[in-house]
Amino acid sequence: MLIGIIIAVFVIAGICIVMLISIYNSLVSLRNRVKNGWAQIDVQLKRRYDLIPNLVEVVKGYMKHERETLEKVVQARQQAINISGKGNVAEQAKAENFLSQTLKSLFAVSERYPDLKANQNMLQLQEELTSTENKIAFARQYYNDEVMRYNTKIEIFPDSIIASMFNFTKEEMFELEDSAQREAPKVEF
Amino acid sequence: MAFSFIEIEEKKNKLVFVLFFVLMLFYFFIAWLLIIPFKLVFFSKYLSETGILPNLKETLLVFIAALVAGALHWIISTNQVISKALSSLGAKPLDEKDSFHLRLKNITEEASIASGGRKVECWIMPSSALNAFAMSDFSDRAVVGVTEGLLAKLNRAQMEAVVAHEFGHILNGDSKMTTITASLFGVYSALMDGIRRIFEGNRHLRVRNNGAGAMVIFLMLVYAILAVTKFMSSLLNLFISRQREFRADAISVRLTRNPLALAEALHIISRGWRGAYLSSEYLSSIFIINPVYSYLDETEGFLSTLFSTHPPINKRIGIALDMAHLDVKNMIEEMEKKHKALSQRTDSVIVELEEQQERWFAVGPDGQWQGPFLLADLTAIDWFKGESWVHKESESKIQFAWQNNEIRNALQGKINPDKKAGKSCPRCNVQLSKVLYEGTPILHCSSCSGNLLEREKIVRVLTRRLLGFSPQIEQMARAIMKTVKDMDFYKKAREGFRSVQEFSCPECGRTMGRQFYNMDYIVEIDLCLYCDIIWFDKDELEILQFLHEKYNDGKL
Repeated sequence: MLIGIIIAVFVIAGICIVMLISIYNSLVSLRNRVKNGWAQIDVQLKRRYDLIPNLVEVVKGYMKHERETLEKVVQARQQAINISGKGNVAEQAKAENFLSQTLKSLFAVSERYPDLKANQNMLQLQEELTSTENKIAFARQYYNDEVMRYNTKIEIFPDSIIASMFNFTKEEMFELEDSAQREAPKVEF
Repeated sequence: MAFSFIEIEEKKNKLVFVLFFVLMLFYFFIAWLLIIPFKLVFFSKYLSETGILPNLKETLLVFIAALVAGALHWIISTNQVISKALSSLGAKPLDEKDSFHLRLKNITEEASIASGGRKVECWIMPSSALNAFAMSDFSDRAVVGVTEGLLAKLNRAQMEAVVAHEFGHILNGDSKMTTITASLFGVYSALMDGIRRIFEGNRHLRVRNNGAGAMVIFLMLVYAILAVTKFMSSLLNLFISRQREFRADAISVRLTRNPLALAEALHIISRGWRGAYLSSEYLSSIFIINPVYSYLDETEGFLSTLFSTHPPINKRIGIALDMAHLDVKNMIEEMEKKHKALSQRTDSVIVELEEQQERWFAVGPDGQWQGPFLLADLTAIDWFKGESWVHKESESKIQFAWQNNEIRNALQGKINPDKKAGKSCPRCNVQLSKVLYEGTPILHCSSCSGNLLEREKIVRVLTRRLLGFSPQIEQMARAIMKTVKDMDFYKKAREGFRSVQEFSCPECGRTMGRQFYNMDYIVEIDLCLYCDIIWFDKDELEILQFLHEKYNDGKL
């Protein structure tokens, strides 16, 4: 009888340990996917920082009367660069959204300059920036999906116990500000 | 994505096992059946002793033979499946100088990011058909392919939806299944084609002796068995086939969050030429829509579920539209509206490729600054002389044209060769310049306005509709069509291939042959058969495009 109880206890303990390990491992892999998702966003944001000076260089010659719009883009870029790397997702999302908006208004204004629209460099840059904007949107979409999965996982029982034991904390989403953008995340200049 | 790498890996191992087992079974079955005609023909004398059906010893032999044949078949046909299929489809890698191809490359990268970083190659089928495909193999090489026609016809969002659909097949793992089964069982189609050819070749030869007669009977029986096998292998293909298109559509929407673009893309694809007979029949399951229209595809029921490779396109569009909360009528109306807005295109414009090409402003005869011009264009203007005032676009320094070395060289006909394509116009011997025409890089003569392009680029120019036509082009094209209607066929054919050898090829220096583009589009071209490049005189390329577009729209 006693031996039976001891065996039962060992078996249950064994099952518990296996479960614990598997839950821990799945939490780690989910957290790494969130990190990977963030790295993807980061790469694309950096690419956008690199493209903007080229854009300004091309546009400058044509848009003599649009100093203000151009300056806004340059400022927004600088602001975003300053915030990036500090690990504050919400702040950075805000800065990046502002940069997206200034870029959008720049492209809207450029519609008025037919010479600029026919410029081969401009067309190429426009394609590159459109693609980068989409990549940011897709990377953000992937990141948010993974954060959602991760956050749900660490709140669900029994995973929540292990999450709190090993200090798995909630991650922040890369949110969009206005609801109009939420409807259509992709842009077409 | 729902599929982690471990899950995909597990799926892969299971897949290998199932496929190999099925292959073995087929070989066993075929070999077992083959023994019957073999005995009938070659051992007909002993039939009474052994019986017509194979006995146990023979079955064992057959089993070993099937094992060997199956293993060989497996090794041969799973080795570099994708490369073989790509070359049989005539697919080409992307041309990064072409703006449409660049866009496709970007879209593929975007889809890759949306899927969490799955790396996928992108290839192009140089055809005007509207279709796209996905393939992947055991080494996890994955390929998405799009036809030139589809690339030209879809806008960015629609293209994104199609590429995401193909990504869906790859992420799902079902493209691996279709690719491998297609390559495994495609062999039967090829064998059947071969045997059929032998029959057709021998049809008018009377069977002279018994040996040949026996051979024919033998081949016929083999053919019959192969036909049964092929039928069964297609069954196998279809078991996995029909639902996966819906699943890939679902993944497409999940990646792009744009069901409307998917519905629009499917609508456009379903109404165009899908590229029938471009590929062997066995490859049809890798495409987004069956290249050959089949009635079964468009219906539902027991038979279609069994035999068709693709679900009804209407149903797919319906599902996507449900997600977008729209109906078909709305979508078509909206698309027509957009199409009308797009059809008011600009006149023919050639955009210069600005590879370090400096532009110049010059003072015209009226005393006003004019420009900017490229060097070649500037020197071709008749009022431009050595004593004209000029300045570079990038500098404000004003000088006489003769003070600048580049312009002096250009005026003396010595244009700096590294700024030019390095090839000269066959008509006027001026250096050709690299330009973008309909988004594709071609060579253009700034003096006679002729264009030089490789034959493979013609399909790009013909399918794309960035540029409009001037009234003169339309007039000339209509005049050509009128003369063609009056010409009888033989005259046309005689005229069509007269070989006036006037130009020499800028590439290799051999003489170029002059002929009509084809019997429908009577446009004279000069063709170098060795380099496969074509010279179009002024306006000829535009006329060809006009004829092609109007012919396709049914407005000729």
